Amino acid sequence: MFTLLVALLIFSVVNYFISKASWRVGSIINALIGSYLIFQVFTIPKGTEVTIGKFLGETLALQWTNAGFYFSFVSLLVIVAVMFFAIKWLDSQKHPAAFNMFILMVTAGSLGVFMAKDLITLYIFWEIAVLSSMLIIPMGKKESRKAAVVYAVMSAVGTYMFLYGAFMIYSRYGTFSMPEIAKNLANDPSTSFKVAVVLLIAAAGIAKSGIFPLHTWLRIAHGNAPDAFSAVLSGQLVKLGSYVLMISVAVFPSLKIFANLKLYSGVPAPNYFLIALGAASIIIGTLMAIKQDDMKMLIAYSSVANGGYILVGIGTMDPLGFEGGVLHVFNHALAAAVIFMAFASVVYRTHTKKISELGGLIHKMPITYIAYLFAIISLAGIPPMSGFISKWMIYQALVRKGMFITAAIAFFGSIGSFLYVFRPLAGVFLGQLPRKYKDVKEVPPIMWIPMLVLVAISFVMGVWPFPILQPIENMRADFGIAPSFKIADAQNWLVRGFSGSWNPVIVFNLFITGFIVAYILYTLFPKPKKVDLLKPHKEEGAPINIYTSGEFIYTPELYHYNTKFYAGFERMYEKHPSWEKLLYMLAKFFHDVGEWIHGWFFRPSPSAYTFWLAMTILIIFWVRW
Amino acid sequence: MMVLLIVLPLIFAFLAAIKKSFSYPLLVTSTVVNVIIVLLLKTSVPSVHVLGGWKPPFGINLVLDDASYYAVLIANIVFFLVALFKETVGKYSTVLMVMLAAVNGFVLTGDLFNSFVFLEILTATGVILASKRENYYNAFKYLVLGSLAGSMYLLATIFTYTQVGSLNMAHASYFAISEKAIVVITILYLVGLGVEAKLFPLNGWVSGVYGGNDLSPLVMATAVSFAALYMMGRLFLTVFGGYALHILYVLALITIVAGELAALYQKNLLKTLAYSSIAQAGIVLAAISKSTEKMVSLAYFHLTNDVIAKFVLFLVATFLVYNYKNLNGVFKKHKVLGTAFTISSMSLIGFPLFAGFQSKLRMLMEMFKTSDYLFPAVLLFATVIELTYLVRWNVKLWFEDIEDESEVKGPALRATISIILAILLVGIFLAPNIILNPTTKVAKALLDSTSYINNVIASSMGGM
Amino acid sequence: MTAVYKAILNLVIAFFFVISLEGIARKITARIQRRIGPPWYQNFIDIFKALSKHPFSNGWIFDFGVLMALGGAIATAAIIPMGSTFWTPFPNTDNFFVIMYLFAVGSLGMAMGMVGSGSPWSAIGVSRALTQMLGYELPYLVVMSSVMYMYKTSSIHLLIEKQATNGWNLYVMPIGAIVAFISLIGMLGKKPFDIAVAPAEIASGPMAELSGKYMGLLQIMHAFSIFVEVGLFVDLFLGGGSLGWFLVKFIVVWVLATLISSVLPRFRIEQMLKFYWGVPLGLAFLNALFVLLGWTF
Repeated sequence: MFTLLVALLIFSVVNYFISKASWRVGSIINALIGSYLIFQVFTIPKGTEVTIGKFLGETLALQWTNAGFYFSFVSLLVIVAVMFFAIKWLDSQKHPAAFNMFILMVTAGSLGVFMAKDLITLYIFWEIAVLSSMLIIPMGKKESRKAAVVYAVMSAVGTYMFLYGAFMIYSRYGTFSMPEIAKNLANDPSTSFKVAVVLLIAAAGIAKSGIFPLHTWLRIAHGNAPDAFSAVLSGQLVKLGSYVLMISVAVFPSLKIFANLKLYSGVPAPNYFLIALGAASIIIGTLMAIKQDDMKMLIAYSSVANGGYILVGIGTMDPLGFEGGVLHVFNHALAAAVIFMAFASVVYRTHTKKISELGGLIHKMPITYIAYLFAIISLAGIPPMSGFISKWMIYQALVRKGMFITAAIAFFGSIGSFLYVFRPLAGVFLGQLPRKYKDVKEVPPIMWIPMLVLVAISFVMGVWPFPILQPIENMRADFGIAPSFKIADAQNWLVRGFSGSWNPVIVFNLFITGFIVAYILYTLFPKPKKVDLLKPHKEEGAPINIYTSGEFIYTPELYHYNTKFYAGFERMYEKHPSWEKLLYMLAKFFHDVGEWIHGWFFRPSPSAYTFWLAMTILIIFWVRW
Repeated sequence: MMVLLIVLPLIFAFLAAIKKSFSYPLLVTSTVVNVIIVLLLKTSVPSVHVLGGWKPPFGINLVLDDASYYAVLIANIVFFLVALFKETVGKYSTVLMVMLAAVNGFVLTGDLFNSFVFLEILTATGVILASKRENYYNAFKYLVLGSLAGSMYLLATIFTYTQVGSLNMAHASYFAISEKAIVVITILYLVGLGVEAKLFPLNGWVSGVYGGNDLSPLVMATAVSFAALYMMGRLFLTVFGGYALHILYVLALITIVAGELAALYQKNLLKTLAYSSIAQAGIVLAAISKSTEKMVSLAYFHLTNDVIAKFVLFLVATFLVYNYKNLNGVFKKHKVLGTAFTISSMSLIGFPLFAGFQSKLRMLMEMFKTSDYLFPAVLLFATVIELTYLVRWNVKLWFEDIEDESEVKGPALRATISIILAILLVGIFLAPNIILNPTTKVAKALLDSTSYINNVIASSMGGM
Repeated sequence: MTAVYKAILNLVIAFFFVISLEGIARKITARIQRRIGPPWYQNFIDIFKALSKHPFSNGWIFDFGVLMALGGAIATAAIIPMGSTFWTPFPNTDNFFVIMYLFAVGSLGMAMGMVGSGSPWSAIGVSRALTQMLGYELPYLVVMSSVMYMYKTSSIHLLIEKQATNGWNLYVMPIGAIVAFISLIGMLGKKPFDIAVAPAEIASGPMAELSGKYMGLLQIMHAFSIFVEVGLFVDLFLGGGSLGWFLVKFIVVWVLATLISSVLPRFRIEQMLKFYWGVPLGLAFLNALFVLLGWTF
């Protein structure tokens, strides 16, 4: 495993030079390597352990676990899809060679994180992933430069809190190995230490998966990163955060560690704290996503909300909640990746990401539209896509635990997601096509095939979810989360909850039957006459051919409703307080302190220096600590 | 032979004064010869050289042990690298030679008054270097502060003499100094040396000197800084046996935070790097003040990484600043320089794959082992801020749209040296022991005052 | 196989019974407004007339949206248990959340197809409809959570069985039942919550471009939706009952909703949201609290 990671890292640099010669060759090689890796993750036997060396007397090691397998597989699906997508998409980019290099580094870093057995190895690969992704982000438009800095800083805040926690653990137990730590934590009598450590470890996950209060980088980074890379950011890198959150509550068995801290319904207080953060993220993410006009920022906020779902699910440590949270990682990864790739295709053709400047692209880019449609069905959690299954599981857990407020927030997020995913659907793809896009074409197959493949996987897993549920069941068994029964009951084709079950195949069949019945009814009655919505584009001076309240309208873009789509609702929270502004104020505060120090100590004339020298002597004599 | 390290550059400097046009070749020769001498000296560690046959404590002696050997090694290599840049050195060859002599003398000497003399020469040459490119006001500020510091240093030396009756470091270390006197002495030394070691709030000169021209940061932020921080360890660990370290600890922590925050505010690239080097000095001093073998070793390990990284950063930054009016996106034109710059700044932040990671992480680990939770917290906080401005600069230099269209020929030598050093940083990450082994010896030598005293005393017994 | 017959029966009842009820509702409203009103079978006439006319299609997504809407509604209507375990077509899949989300397929299809027509009126209508969904679903789902928490099941037929021994939820948790009923009116899109359609403001919103069989099919879809919504309420709060009783309760709920809606004016969109997130949501949480504390009848 280690050789694999090192080979990837080395080859990423080699690939830079290959890509310098021909970036297309480089990106094809990338895609092939990625595909190979997907097969590779299936061949590594579970439990394989590799020692990679010593660091200050501590052994660093990799271990291949069920959790690592699951997360690696999901990550690779997203990354490989983007790699294929990039083969064509990269010709719109300025730095294709660097992109090829860094995306391979991101892959290596992420895989390393999922393989790490101890916290230091995890940290090392984590930083590799952060560093390389941080260098891709500023390749985007103007605003992306700032985005890279914000991303790096927020990530660093979380990461260094993690590191502090890791060292606190080390100074107490003398080990970094996660299984050992889990054992030690479970037997530790000091509650305050355990709470501090677990929350510090979780901080990295909070920052990375965009959980409140460190969620603001998602908007700016996902919104401004190179378009296809946003798919990796939202679909894959954010999941590193979910993985760390899972470590902090599941690998370190929080139910055992905090057995005396059960707050409500058997959920320990630290978990409850995390759940509350997750719930806050759902509210903020949903509300902010609903009012975005920039389609990429919209989905960035939706990633905040979905990160919240994952955290809420995992945080309950309920068998169903845990499986739901982990499955949601898969669902959101695929859905967000497809959505961002669809947007990348739109931007590739139209060069804008403002919903209010687009419209009617379904006439020009139907395949992208289909991919987007199925992805949002999954994201909104509507059957028969797989997104529904994870939401169902999370609801089951919340209802069983009687966590009504969290459940209400989860419902709010779910219904809110209908609102925000519909906004780009209506504003970008449906409605009237503005004239300037009348010559836009569908993106080439190498760009739409990866999207459709991911959508197809998500669809199949929605109808027959047992292959993806099985690894999750294995993970749950690893973490010893009370398996009272089998949730994924493949023999009876059932997904079971505490309160009843459901059969995804029946649901799918019903859906198809309903559709067929509807189609039969449809064909029974007179054939429709087609209305040509694109007539004004084809014929100079032709009016729009739909209901216009008796007016003749010749400019289609004026007859397209996509600005302030939810005006009635948006008005209600126009004057909301902005957390992002608050964080900027904090940054400004440090900046001002810097200015103050600069002004008082570093700028003055020599006389002031003399004064400070004298003062220093005096103060030292006086205080001497 | 070690006396040649001081004398040779001085003689060459005299020769250069006679014949101006020879000054640059003489500089190159002297640095090359010096590096060779240092390498040859490796076998004679530890040894004591007694000047003019006056045995200690009456005469001046030079001490070459593991610690001072490592310091002169780094300093001479840095001077050698600087000497390669003819354009940058310009008319300052003679000054550089004098400075080289002063640095070597400062590091090697075993005599307090003698070290004061070298410190003064160091300051004087530093002021001359700082005044390059008409940077007079900042040089003047440095001069004022440097000479004030010098007088404190002198005062402390005099007090020591009144107490011990000798100016020899070994003797000062050997004889007990009264409780009252040692307070005064250590504090005065702290202040006197603190100016060179960039201790807050005595470091007002740094941004002006490092940020004022293209030569002084290359030497001052690396070789001189290393020498000053070496002396800090020598005085406070070896000579005064761990006295006043807690004061140093507190001041160092304040230095870290103040340096980073000032760097965050700073808009000028060279000055940003200057403040960053203040903060790094703070980290090193805080680590030295812990006075355990591991921490001191890590302090010098970290300092070495910082010196390499800063050398590259200043090498690239001075080139950019004095060739382009607007720095946006300049690395698009100078990819190799850019890569070296990025690697060095990542090493400074402490990202894995680069040397800074090894020193920072080891330091954190060591601090937690000794249950000091404050320093790691400060260090990590400082790292976040450091990351903010370094990433900001990297992004600006790599990705912003180019505004200054002027084409400057890529400097081949600068690019080569910076990329080699950058690769060295990666090498140190992979094999940290190439630096850690020497610095462990440094730490041992600094902390073991008994063997230091014995060495010197033995030389006085055994004659030359 | 019996499941399939039961499902077909569901659909047949949903079609004939609900469309008749819609006609009756028109009659009732007319009488309240001192008009004579159309005959009770008027809606059948309307639907078949619409289906037989020559329609216009605004593109493939328009067609697809209508099919998806009707398909989703049919699928959902087919799972709804009609008052008892015996009349439950798929006892393994009648999970509350499954029904709620399967139901959303129809809404999404309709929304997509109508916006696909290219008319801004439809887009405005859909944006209103989705916002309204945010309003009524929240109190409704909270009440439903407390119901499911109390009986430890989310299977509808099990909930009906529990009510048979425990008493109707209308009596067990009256507050919850009232909240659910208020949400039901919003779900049905009846006044004062007919914001999405609002014929006088936005030209019937989503329906602006519908013609001929499209209109007819969507009316059928609407009938299935009503069957699902009211049927769920009867099952969950009125204890279901044999098929006959189920239909009687259905009629009572429907008539009550019609009576209320026929005397009220329309809300604005913000008013609607503020209303639903005010008293009903508060009561829903109160109900949840009572359930938690065991203060149920």
